[in-house]
Amino acid sequence: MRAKKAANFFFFLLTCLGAGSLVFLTAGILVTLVVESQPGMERFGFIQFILSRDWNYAQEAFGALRPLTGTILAAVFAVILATPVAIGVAVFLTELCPAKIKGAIALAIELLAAIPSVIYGLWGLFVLAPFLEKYFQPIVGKIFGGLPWIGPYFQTQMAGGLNLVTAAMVLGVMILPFIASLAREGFAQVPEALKESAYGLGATCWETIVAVVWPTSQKAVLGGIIMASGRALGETMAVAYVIGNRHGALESLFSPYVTITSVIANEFNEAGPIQMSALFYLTLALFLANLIVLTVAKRLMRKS
Amino acid sequence: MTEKGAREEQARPNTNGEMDNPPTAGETKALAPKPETPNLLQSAKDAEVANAPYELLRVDKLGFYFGENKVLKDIELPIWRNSITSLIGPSGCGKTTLLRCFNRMHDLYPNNHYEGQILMEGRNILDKNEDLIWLRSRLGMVFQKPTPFPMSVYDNIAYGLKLKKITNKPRVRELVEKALRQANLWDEVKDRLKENALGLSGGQQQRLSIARSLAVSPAVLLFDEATSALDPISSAKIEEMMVELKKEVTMVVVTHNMQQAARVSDYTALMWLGSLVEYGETTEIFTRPKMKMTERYVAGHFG
Repeated sequence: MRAKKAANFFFFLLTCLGAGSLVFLTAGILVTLVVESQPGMERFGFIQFILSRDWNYAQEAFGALRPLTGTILAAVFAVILATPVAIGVAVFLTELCPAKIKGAIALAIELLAAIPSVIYGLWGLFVLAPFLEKYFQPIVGKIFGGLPWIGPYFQTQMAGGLNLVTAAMVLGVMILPFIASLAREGFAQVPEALKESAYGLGATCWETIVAVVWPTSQKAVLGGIIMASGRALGETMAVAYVIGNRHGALESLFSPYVTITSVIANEFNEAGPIQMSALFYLTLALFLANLIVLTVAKRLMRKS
Repeated sequence: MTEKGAREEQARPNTNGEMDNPPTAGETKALAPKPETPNLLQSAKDAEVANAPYELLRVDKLGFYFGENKVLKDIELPIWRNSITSLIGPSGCGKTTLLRCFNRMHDLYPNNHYEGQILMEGRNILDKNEDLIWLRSRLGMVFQKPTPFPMSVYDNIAYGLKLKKITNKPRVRELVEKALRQANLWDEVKDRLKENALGLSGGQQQRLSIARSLAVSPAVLLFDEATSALDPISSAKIEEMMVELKKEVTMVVVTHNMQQAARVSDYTALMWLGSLVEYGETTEIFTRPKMKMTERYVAGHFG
C-alpha cells in the first residue's frame, strides 16, 4: 500500500515537473527579453519606441513603428485572404463532400500544414513573386491605380515582386490549413439533430449552414481565426524571404517592407549592441502582441 | 371516400405552385381543404370527406441498407390520415430507421440505400428524383432532444416560413401565433417571443420544435421518441397536444413508452430485428394481439 502511494506520488511529481518546466521556460524567455531590451528601453522609452519610424544604423536610432505595422498588416491581409477559402474548405468537408474523396482532401490539408516554412519562403521567392509581378500587379495597378487618394497604394513602384502583398499571400497559404481544421472542429461540434431539424423543415444545405451551423459554431471559428492570426504574426522564415526587407515608407501595397520577424532574422547577425537591444525590444513587443491575440482567441473559444 | 374527394387528394400534393404562393400556402391544409365561405352544407360534406378513413402513406415491401447491412426487411404498413400510428419495439429493432425513411433523412449520410416503395397518395417518395426539400416540408420531424435553433422564439417558428418564401409580416405573425397555439405553447411564450429560444425549459423547447414543424403546415409529423427526454408533466402536455393535432396532421410516433403508445395512438406496429411483427389498431395490439411475440412484448416480457 505504501509502495503504491509512493509510486503515485512519484508519478505526480514527474508530470508536475513536465508542466512546471514549461511555465519556467516561458517565464525565462520573458525575463531574457526584458533584460536584453533594457538598454533599448532606457534609450528610446516605450511610447517613443513604438511610434518612431527610425531605423538608422549610423545614428543608432531605432523605432518599432514600421516593423510593427508590417507585421500587423501582413497578418491581417493573410487572415483576410485565407479565411473565406478555409471556411469554404471546412464547409465542404463537413457538409458537402462525398465520403470517398473526403480522406484525400483532409490529407492534402494536413500535408499543407506539415510543409516547413522555409519551403514556403522559397516557393514565394521563386514562383509566387515573379508570377505576381508579371500578371497580378499590373492588373491591380490598372484597375485601382487611378483611384483618388488610395490609387498610389495599388501601383507598383519597385520591381522584384517582393513586397507586402506577396508576404501576405504566402502567409495566407500557410495559415489556411490551420483555420480550416479549427473551423472544421467547430462545425463538427454542431449536434446532428440540430442540422437534421433544419433539413427536416425543408432547408437546403446552404440554408442549414446559415441558420444553424454557423451561429452555433461561429465563436469557435472566430477564435480559430484569431489563433491563426497569432501564427501569422510570429511567422519568420517565409516572410523574411518575400517581404523585401526595406526600411522605408509604405508607399504602396506592392512596396518592399519589413516585419518584426524579418528584421530580426536579417539583422541580428551584424547588429551593434544598441541595435541588438532594439531587436530584443521588438521581440518583446511581438511577444506581448501575441499574448493579447491568444488571450482574445481563448476567451472566444471558451465562450462557445 | 367520394370520387370528388379522391380527385382533390390526388391533385394536391403534386401542385407545387400552390406552395410557392404565400396567401394560400399557410392556410391550405393540403389534405383537408377548407372553403373560405361558411356554407354549412358544403363544409359538412367536406368534413365528412376530410374525416373519411384514408390511406395517406403506404409502406410497400420496404427494405433499407446501411452499407451492406440490411436493417429493414420487407416492411408493409399503411399510415391512415389524421391518425396517430406508433412504432414500438425493443432498441435496435429498426423503428427509428423506418421513421427516418419517411422524410428521407437517411439521404444526408452516405452509403445507404432503399428497396421497395413508400407511396404517398400514389407517389413513390423513395424515388431517386424525389424533391427532398419539398418532401421534408410535407413531413416534419421532431427529435428526441429538443432542437431549438440559436435564435429568438419568434424567429424559430418563422424560419420554416421563410424557407417557404412566406415573408409578409402580418401573415408570418399570424402563422407563428397559430403554430404556437397548436403546440400549446402560446400562453407561455407570448410575452417572450423576442427572447432566445435556448432560454426556454426543456419541455417548452420541445413544444417549440413541434410548433416550428407545424408552422410549415406539413401533412405528416414524425416523432422520434419526442418525449423520452422530458419529465412526465411535459410529456403529458405533448401527448395532449398530439391528440388535438389529429384534426390537422397525421402522426407517426416512435416510442419506447408502451403506455404512451396505448394512450395516444390509433394504430400500433411492433417491430423486431428489422421486420414488422404485427400491425393493427392499438386496442387490438394491446388487448388481443394475434402474435405470441406481440403479447409477450406488450406484457413486458422482453425488450
